Amino acid sequence: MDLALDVGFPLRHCSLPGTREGASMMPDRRSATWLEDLPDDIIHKILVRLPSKDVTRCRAVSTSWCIATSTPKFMLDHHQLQPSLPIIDGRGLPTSFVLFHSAGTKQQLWPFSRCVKHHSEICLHGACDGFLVISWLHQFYICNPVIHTHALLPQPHVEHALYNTIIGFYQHLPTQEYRVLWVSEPWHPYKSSLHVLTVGSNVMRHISVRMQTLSPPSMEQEHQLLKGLRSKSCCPPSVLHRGSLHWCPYDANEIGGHNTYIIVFDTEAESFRWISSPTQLCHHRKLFDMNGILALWGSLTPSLTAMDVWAMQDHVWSFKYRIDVSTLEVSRQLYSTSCKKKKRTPLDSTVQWLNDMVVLNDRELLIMFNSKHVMRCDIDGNFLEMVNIGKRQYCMMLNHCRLKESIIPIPSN
Amino acid sequence: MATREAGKKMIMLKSPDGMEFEVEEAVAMESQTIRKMIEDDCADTAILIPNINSKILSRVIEYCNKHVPTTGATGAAASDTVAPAALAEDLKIWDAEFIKVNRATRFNLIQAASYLNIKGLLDLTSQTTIDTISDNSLEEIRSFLSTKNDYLPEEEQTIRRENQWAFQ
Repeated sequence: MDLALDVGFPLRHCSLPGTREGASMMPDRRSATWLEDLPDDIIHKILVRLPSKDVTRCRAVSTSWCIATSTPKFMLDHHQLQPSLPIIDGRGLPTSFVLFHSAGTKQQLWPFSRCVKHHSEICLHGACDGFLVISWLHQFYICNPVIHTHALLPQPHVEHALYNTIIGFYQHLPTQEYRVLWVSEPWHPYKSSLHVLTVGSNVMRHISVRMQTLSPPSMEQEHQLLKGLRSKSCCPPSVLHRGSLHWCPYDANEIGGHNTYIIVFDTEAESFRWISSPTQLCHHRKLFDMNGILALWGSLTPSLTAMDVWAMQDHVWSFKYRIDVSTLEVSRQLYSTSCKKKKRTPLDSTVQWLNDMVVLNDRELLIMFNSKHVMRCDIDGNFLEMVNIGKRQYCMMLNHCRLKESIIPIPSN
Repeated sequence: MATREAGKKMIMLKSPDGMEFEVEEAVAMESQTIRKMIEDDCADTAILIPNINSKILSRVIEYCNKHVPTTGATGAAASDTVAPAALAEDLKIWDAEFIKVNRATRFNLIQAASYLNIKGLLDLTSQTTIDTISDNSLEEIRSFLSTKNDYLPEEEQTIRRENQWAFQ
């Protein structure tokens, strides 16, 4: 006996065009000649693969295409197909922010390249999914660079506030809301305060600093912690991982923890806790996201001639790989001599130490080795290329924010 | 009927226009839909593939034959002497030839790939349509894919104006 496939969805969705429901056994004479002849779910599968720009162009083709590409499900499916890409910060000299694709192509991020006059003052404070939080001329904005939109972020209104700093930008998973974590610092000592803003609602909540396992911190401890988290000289920006913000302070003692501890803010419970980190890595420690895994790189010695990468898996830190200046430089020299014979390497492009690093994909990294140069290499220490983001580029820094493109609009009331 | 040939399990696929195709089980299992049936043990006998005519089904089988891992198109064991990179390059060239079909066949292949859940084939067949959209003006997209423009001129202008960046 023949066995027909259980189609799992209404039959008309898999019947060939030209055949009616129930008549699908008939030999097919007409077939799908046009895209519109295809069932909606297949059109969805095709359109969702389009680059963001083409999705937007599609909306002007017809109302049905516009409707099909504007549903929340479509926009979310489209977002989930996009890779998470690192951002290179050119500090406006002359380029500002550039998105680095795995294939080696670079894409300037809107609107940073347009603000010619003030671009050097644009600061990137955080990224979450397809949104960035930036500041420009003392104002803070949420921005979707892909669809060229931005919106002003209200700041906490605290009496005698000296300044407000964004220390975290995340999606609150239970509500799917995008939220901004602020520290407001007034003139008065020991009165730093913590605030949560839900993007689009303009509702600012003051929250108290709570530690998950310890008794509530004193006012002085609270101030010490918040001041540490907002200060760039005290700890690098937060890394968002599984709904929690993570900071790895240069010296955790300064903000009330043990030497090598990492501080975590649980965005659901809205409380802090400390977790340990590999004690071997004493110098230049920096947290980063390694393809969805929380990772830490650092050096065993004060000189940055080698960096070890550790990753947290099943709540345990384990050593992953080491990148060493000497092997990297050797492979780089081999590459440049084989490519451009006799050309001398300028002094500032020799690798003396490793300043910063971001992950490009499973195998490849971007490594910054002075304020002007970034190179692409693999995790075995093989040099692949020097990163070039434009002629006469003066400065290149790695930014730990990553962008996962989306065409989802900025939440608003 | 499922038969055995040279130690390989064979599966019979039937198209609604009455054609029968005997294929290796491994080849048929390139389709996740068929794989699930086989794994759930409901494919002892011939499998009727509704809605996919023999012309399209034979092309789908041709694709699966080429792409099934560890066995070549002839069903022989994969040659260990071919480097994976060269093999991938060879497949890419083969794919490019395979997809040189008219629009109707391509859309039918898209439908078949989606229904039979063959990711590689869906990627390959969709890409041409994606390229058509990416590489052409709105008017060309409408004419190539036969989509009726049901916007009023001023409505289309508004969309273009609001998303100027996408039209530059």
